[in-house]
Amino acid sequence: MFNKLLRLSLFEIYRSLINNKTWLSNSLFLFINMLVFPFAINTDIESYGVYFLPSVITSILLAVVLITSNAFDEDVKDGTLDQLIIFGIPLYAIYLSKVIAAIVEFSFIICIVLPIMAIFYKIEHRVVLQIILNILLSIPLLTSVSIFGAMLTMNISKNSAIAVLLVFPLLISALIILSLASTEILNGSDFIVAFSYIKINIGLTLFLLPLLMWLSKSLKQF
Amino acid sequence: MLSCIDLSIEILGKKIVSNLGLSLLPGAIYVLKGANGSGKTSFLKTLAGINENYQGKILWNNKSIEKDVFFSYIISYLGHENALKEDLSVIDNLNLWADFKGNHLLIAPSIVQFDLAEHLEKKCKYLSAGLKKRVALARMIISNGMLWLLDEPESNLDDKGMELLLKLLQAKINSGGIVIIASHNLEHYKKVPVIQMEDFKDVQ
Repeated sequence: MFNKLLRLSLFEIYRSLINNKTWLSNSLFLFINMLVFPFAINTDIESYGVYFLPSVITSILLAVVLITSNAFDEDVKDGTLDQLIIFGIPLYAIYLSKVIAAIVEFSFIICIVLPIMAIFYKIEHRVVLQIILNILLSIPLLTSVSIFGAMLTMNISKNSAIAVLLVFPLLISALIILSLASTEILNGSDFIVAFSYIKINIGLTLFLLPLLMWLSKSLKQF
Repeated sequence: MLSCIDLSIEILGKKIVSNLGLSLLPGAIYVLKGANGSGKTSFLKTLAGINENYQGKILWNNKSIEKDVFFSYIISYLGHENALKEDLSVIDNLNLWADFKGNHLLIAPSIVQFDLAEHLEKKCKYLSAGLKKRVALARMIISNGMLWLLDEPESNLDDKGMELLLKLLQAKINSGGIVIIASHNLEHYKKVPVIQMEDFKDVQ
């Protein structure tokens, strides 16, 4: 089973990275969102730095939904999901492979977009690197929760609709913790202080990921 | 032998198939016939293990498929969709499925059988509908199951593709396999048992 999971994960990563349209359009979305966000509040270009963190957090919320919401759409439409089940791959392994691929794609996009945006916002390299590290440590939680939400949308029933709504508070909580950690960094605190917040996200990932895998095991396509 | 006892299938709360009972012996092709919505696809998906929303029993060699952990290994399924990744080449698609089954030795025969040699490096999105269907059928060889479930496999196939398909089906039943085909075109399958899905419609 581990072999199949590894192959499926590598396949998903390969597909998301060779498909320029996907990661390029997602990067562009993140880039434009961060660029335009401050204009919605203030057109004074000198005070842009103040809006760096809000624009990062907002963009991450939108990007994580964008990257993960269609995780299963194509597989359902082109019949791949049926074939994967017939080939004996359990739903939890399919779910996990999507999470792994989304983590890689999202991390890749963050590592490209954020350093560029930091120049625009005139943020120090050290600060940006620490914020990126914080985000990278939070991405597993964000993607695993969001992909579980996407998986639930395949199951058309009242219960799943409620469950999808429950996914969002988890996403928001993770982002609030990320925001608190990043604020500490921007305020000049040591990374250890920020890490004390991020530890919560890491802990939540370690608790939720196995739970969500277990829950996804019993999800049916119909 | 595949047996269904009092099989009823429900999709989204509606009973599509009711009290279906049959036994299918190896080495034969069986055609499912019926109007649209008569439950052909649902029946195939249930046999394939994709739809678990059913009552009754499905037995493979007198053992319930729910208890048979190896049942998924004997199934090869081709649905309405070809299950091809459009942004990958033909050979990458075949390799992917061969990876899951560990059947790399069957890639070459599948390419020869469906005459795909000159298209191997082409991305699937650039193939015609008929060629895509041939690639999907090539995957059936790779998955190498004893129970083949095909949902309108003749769609989009030209005369040559159809000829290749019929040869493949003949080879499968000669090796003791069971082939179940949902189709509207019975003229392609001569002298085969036909299962009328309307006979198992919910009368209520």
